[in-house]
Order: sequence, then structure tokens, then C-alpha cells
Amino acid sequence: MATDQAPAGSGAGINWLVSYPKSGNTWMRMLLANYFGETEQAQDINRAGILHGIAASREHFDRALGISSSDLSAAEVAGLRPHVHAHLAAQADRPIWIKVHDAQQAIGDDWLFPPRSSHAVVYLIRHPLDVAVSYAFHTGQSVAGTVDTMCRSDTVIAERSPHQLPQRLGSWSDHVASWVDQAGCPVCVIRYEDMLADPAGQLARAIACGRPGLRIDPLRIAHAVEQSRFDRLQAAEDAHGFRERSEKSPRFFRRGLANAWHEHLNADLERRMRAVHHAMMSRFGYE
Amino acid sequence: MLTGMRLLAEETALREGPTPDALEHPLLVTPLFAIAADAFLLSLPNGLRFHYRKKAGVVCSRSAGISDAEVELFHQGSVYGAVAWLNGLVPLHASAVTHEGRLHAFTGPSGAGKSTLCAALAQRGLPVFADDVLVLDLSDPARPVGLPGHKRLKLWDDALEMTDLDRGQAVRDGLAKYFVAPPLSDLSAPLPLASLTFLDPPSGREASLTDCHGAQRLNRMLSAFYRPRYIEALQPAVERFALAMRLVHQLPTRIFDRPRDRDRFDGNVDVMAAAIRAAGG
Repeated sequence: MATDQAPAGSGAGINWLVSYPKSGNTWMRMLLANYFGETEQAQDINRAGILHGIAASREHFDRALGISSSDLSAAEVAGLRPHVHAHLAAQADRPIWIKVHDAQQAIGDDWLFPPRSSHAVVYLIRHPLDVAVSYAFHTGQSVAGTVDTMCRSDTVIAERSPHQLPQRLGSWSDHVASWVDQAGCPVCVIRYEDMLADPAGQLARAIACGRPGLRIDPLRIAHAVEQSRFDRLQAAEDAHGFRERSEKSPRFFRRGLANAWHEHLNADLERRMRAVHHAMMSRFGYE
Repeated sequence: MLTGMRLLAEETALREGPTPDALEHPLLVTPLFAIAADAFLLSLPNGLRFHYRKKAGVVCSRSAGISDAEVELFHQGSVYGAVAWLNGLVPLHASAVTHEGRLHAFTGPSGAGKSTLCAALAQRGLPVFADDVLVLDLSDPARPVGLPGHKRLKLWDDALEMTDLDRGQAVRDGLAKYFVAPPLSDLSAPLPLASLTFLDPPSGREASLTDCHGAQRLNRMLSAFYRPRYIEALQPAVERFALAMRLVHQLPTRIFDRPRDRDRFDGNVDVMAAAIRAAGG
């Protein structure tokens, strides 16, 4: 007899590739996909290899539990999600990479992302003022509305999504703290700004965290960085579309710059963000 | 061909009564379901439970406050699919319409838009045959035959807005998902399946309907099986692959990539309706 507690694979666990939205998660996923891809060609942005989608995928949930998540209440879904993660981890014969936007959080006596299902966490962080602008363009919400979203502790995204389960983010600072201060599994924090300055070095750090002991090949790193250049991702989106683009935004890969928030954030909004997130911004070197 | 239809009707017949906490000799146990070679148990968080045993039908037990609509929702979904698998039938995660005596089915994960598309096709004169689960009878080696589904669609409120259909009873309290009578349906008899279309998440491009070729056909067919973990517990991989291979060889398969913006919904449906009519009977 099989159960989700008796792994079909070796139960190697999951590398959670975590970020607040618009913080470099897609770029890092493309870097990893191009590193681990077995060809010299660029990975398809819509079907990148080695990656297993987003943890909040309804498809993961429905498949793992044999029921449609859309027939369950939000509370029922939340209570069952740790079982989905346990199933995905049990299937893996080596650590797999899964994208996450949820905050880590307690679910009854368990964790949403249980340490028993987890191998490591790569947490991608970006200057929250840049996140506010990028996220506003992504969702089509006003910058003021996005700042409010990032400052509220009760923020939940994808509450009405046909493809994703609702995801509780909390405020930007809540989100960061929930992951970087958890002790259940190793965490590697990577700043978006450091990815811009040294993509090869930050990709190597992510690989070392998710696949410790694996010899890192500098030629594959160079290949991955080249194939994942922002202008190449933009060109691929223009040519083939991108399934993660919001209906509210003309393109997903918009600018990808650091410190571009000055053009769109007024003084009041900047003050509010700094007042709410001062401690976490200082901790990660954001002025 | 009535055999498969009668078998499914008899085996899915529902009555209320006591249900066990666990199955004897299960092949797979998960937090919500357990499956054995001749039995299935579904235990929902709200206390609703279904127990099926071959030749004995389906028994459900429920705690106070669980509505008949909730019972119908799960009985016609996960339970229906499990009973089909356990009786040698092949349920697909698909909705289907009929045209000139043949079926055209649409598959994709939950949220792909299967039910909404079928509702809108029915408004264009193509009757609904099955919603969410399309059970195939493969006893005729020459062609897969679909068995008629249930009388009501299940649509979210935004799908009701797009199709301008009337909201029926909520499938569960607190969910904005409703039972809806399709504008046109045809549930009278089994019909041969003429095509299967995979509904892809939107890429952002204009609506396109392309033939599905090569190895991706097989992977897509495997993912079209309804509740893959049920069949993974019941059949070895080699048999599942053989089943998928048979279907991809017998069925034209296509990929429908279409924008999900509401203002382009009618145009997308027109593309699909025209393709079905062009395929003929």
C-alpha cells in the first residue's frame, strides 16, 4: 500500500524559490532552468525545464488530493495544502524547485510549507519601493493601492484565480520575516540588486543552496546568464507571449531595473513605505 | 453500447447509510481518498463521506447541515470518476459538446475554462454532452465512445457573466460556483468521440487552434485522465501509457490557446464553434 508518507521517490524534498511578487523570482527560475537544461538552446519561458510550477497551483492540489480545489472552501483548501507539499516532496528523487509567493505560516499544528517536505529556501528580496512600482504595473492597480497592499498584514492574492489557490502574503515585511527567520530548513537570501550586479555569482549561490555538493560548472553558469538576459526574456515574451503575464499589463518583463521607483512613487507613498518597512529595509541594506 | 452506460448508472447509484473509516486492502491512502482494486472511499473535511464497493453501489454519510447540492457535487465528480476507473471505463477530465452525432471534447486542469466554453458553444447550437468528467467506453476497439454526463453544468459567477446564463443553486454555501442548466444538451445516448482539444493557459497571443503532434500528445493525454492518482494506483505505468497511446492514435488532438480577456471571449468561442462545424459529423 502506498501513502503520501511513504515516498514514491527518495523523498528528497523541495527547494522553495520564494519571493514577494515582482522580486526576481521569474528571472532566477529562468537562470536555473538554463543552467540545468541539457541543451545549448535557451529554455522556453513558458515551459522552462526542471521547475515544477508554483506551489499554489490548483493543478498540483487537485492532482495530489484527487479532488477539485474549486469545490472546497478557502479554509478547507488552506488546511489541506501541507499534504500537497508532502506529496510533491515524496515524489522527488532529488530536490525539486518550486516557486512560492505565500508567506510561511502555521496551519493548525503544521506549517504551510512543512520542514519535513522542505530541502532549502532560496529567498529573493528586492527594494520594496521598486517592488511597489513593478507590482503596480503588473496588476494594473494604482501605485497608491499597491503601497497599501504591501503595508497591510491581511493581504491575500489570487483569491479569484482559476489557476492558483489564494495566497496570504501579509505585508512586505511580514513576508520577508516569515521566511528568513524560520528555522525549519536552510535559507539563502538573494537580493535582486545583487543579481543585477553579479548574476553569475548569485546563481551559483542559489545552486549551492539547493543542490549542495553538486560541482558548479562555470561554463553552464555563463550559458545560463547569457540565455536569461533581460532583453532576451523580453524578446521571447514579444515573440511567444508569456503565460504569467497579467491581463492588466501589456508585458511581464517591463524594465527590470533597480532604483527606478523615483519616477513613480510620490513623497507621501515613499514616507508610508519607509515608516512601515523601515526595520526590514535597514536589515537588508535598502536605503 | 448501452452496456457501459447502464453499468455506470447502476454502479454510481447513490444511497445514504453508514460508511467505513477505512478500506480493506487499499492500494493507496491519501488524506482525502483511499482506493482499492474494488472499492473507493472519499472523506471530505466537512464530514461528508462516500464509500463505493463494486456491485454494491455508492453509500454516502453526512454530518448535519450538508446539503443535497454538496452531495451531488462530489458524487458527480470524484466519486463518479473513481467508479468509472474501477469498472474498466476511462474518465477524462473533459467537457464535451455534440455535433452531427459525434463528440468534441475539451480538456485542461480546473480553471482552464472547459465548462464555460461548453456553455457558450451550447448557446451557438452545439448541445452539451458532459461537463468536467467525460467517461469513455473503449470496448469497441475501433473508436472511443463517450457516455452521456449529467444534466447540469457548474459555473463560476464570472462565467455566468460572460455567458449571460441564469444562476442556479450554489454548489456549496459560500462558494460563488453554481449549478446551471445548459441552454442545450444531448444526453440521450453514447456517441463516438471525434476530437479532443487541450485548453492551454493563455500565452497572450491571439486565439489559435493548432494540431498537437509528437511526444507532447502522449504527455498531454496522460494528464487528461481524470484524477490521475486513481488510475496510477490501479494500473501499472505500462498499461496507462498503452491506454494513452491508443487514444492519441485514434483521436485528432488540438491545442487551443486563447486570450482570457472578457472582451475577446465571444470571438474565442466563435473560433471553436467554426472549427467543430468545419470538422463535420
